[in-house]
Amino acid sequence: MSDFAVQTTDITRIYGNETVPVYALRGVSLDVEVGEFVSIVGPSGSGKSTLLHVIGGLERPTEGEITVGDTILGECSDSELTDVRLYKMGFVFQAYNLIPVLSAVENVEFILQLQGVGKKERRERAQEALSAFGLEDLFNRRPGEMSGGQQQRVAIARAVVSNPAVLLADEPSANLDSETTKEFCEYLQHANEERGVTILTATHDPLVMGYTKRHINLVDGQIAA
Amino acid sequence: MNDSAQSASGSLFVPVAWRNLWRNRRRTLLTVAAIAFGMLIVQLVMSIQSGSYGPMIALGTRMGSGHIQILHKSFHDEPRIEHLISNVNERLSELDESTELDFVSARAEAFALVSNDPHSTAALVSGVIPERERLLSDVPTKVVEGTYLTGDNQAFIGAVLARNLQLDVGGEIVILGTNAEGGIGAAVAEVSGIFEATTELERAMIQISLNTFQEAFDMPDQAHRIVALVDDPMSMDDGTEVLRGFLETDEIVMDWTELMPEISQGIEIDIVSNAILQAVLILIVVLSIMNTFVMTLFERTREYGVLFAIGMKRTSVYRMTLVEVVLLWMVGIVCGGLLTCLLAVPLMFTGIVIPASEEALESQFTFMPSAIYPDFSWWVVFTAPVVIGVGALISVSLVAIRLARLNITEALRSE
Repeated sequence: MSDFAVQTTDITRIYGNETVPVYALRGVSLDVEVGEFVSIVGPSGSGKSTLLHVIGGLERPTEGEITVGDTILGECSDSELTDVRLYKMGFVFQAYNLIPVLSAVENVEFILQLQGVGKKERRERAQEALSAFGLEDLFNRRPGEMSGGQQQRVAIARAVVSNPAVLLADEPSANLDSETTKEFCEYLQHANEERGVTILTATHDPLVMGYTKRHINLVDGQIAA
Repeated sequence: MNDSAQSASGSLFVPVAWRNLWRNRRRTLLTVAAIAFGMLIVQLVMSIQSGSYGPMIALGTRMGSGHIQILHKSFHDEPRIEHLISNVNERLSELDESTELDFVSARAEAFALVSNDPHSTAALVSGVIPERERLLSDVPTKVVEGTYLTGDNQAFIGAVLARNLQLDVGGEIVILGTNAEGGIGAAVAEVSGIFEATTELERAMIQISLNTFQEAFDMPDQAHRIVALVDDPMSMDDGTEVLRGFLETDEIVMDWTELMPEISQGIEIDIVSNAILQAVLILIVVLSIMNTFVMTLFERTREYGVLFAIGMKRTSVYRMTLVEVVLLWMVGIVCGGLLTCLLAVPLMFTGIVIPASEEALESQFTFMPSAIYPDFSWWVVFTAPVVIGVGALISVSLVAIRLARLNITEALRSE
């Protein structure tokens, strides 16, 4: 078992075509140890989201290698990559991205149901996860009936309920005010410390950075010194 | 980590798909309405079609041809008196035993001069077996004066012919023609009854008994046709086969589609033209369903991106979309079924009256019934829902191809 939750080696991601290549990432190599809470920081367009996307298996790098736990993503088929996302990753997005027709508890259960967890167990685990993030009174609320902060907490509960190896959060505080961001970060910290979830968050919010134990500075697709 | 877990999560798809369906209530209701009304119209048209062909065929065949006939191989094209078939009585007795045939009879026909001095005219003289003809043909029921034939040396004549010859019931009519040997064939018969049918028949048709005909035209135990009715005129193979077993030299078997091609061709044209109408209607319904799901795909692109991102397989997303289609289709056909039950099924009992038809029937030889009773057979009930369902699945599969090609990160960035 590797000590690293995530390792990337010389990751390059090029958009566009051969005549006009656009480099989103240029030879990014980083190691994230199990249980770390890391922020990837940098200005807009620096490649933060792209780095999270390739680590999360949402897109493939043009060059380089990514390892999540013991899984080398480059060796996975699309279907295996989907399984990696389902079983090893948790995602928190900037726009919450909950399923609007499902209640809070159903949103959290959804992941477990995709994993084939039985009805009783998944309901218990979903409720437990929501309660851990202070949402015990909102089990049956749909996303449209919750505030942004509440939705983002449901998103964390959804991301951690299956005990993923890595939680990837892409600008999670972008739509939150400072008070809610602080509260949200405390829940992220809770997930990291209490559940041992490794967290990588892309952010340019100093408040979020304050909660992370390590910052990786990305400038023009490269890690800055 | 395998597909089976997500397959097992199929039960989740139903509530999610159902709720997704009602996210845009107005659009879903419009699509449901398109399915329901499309289904109603297709079922109504098909049931009217199905309900009209039987009476059309019955009207046509019971006014003359029957469903299947044995006749001399040349008689259909050259209806000359010498194109005879023989051993009629023996064959009728044996055919009576067949379970494949409902009724059989024999007929002889000749064009002859009919007169009531000093009036005379040409007419088609038909020799029939009265007791069998009553079961085989509608002509005996068209009597307006007197009675149908009850024995030999009687004549049953059309109303126009009776007027032209100034004949009443009880009057004598002289029949003069050429027999099979080229000699003179003659008979005198008493008018037992006068009928009204179509102008064509009323003006030029006279029925006498087959015995009288055979004596007059010197053709013992001979006739021109052995005529049979079967249970289902659309399925005559067994009956035809039975008659083939009784063929003698130079004889053939013909069914009503060959004897009265105007009816079968009319039905074929009607089937084709209505099939085009129904296909267009179903295409509109299917395009409406497709439009709903294309719009859904555009509106929910980010959501699909999220589903892929959190680990839902593309096949599972496709299955969930299919569940949505199936639910939409089910709601549509339930509503369509209710509409059909409320608006169309009662017509099975009340019928759709065609006012012009009775007049047309009186003035010309027409095979259109005066009222049509829609027939909701199984194929009428199930064709439209099944075709709409299959069309919807195919169209949504086309949408699913786009879904399969969706780039996750682009989808996540979409508004």
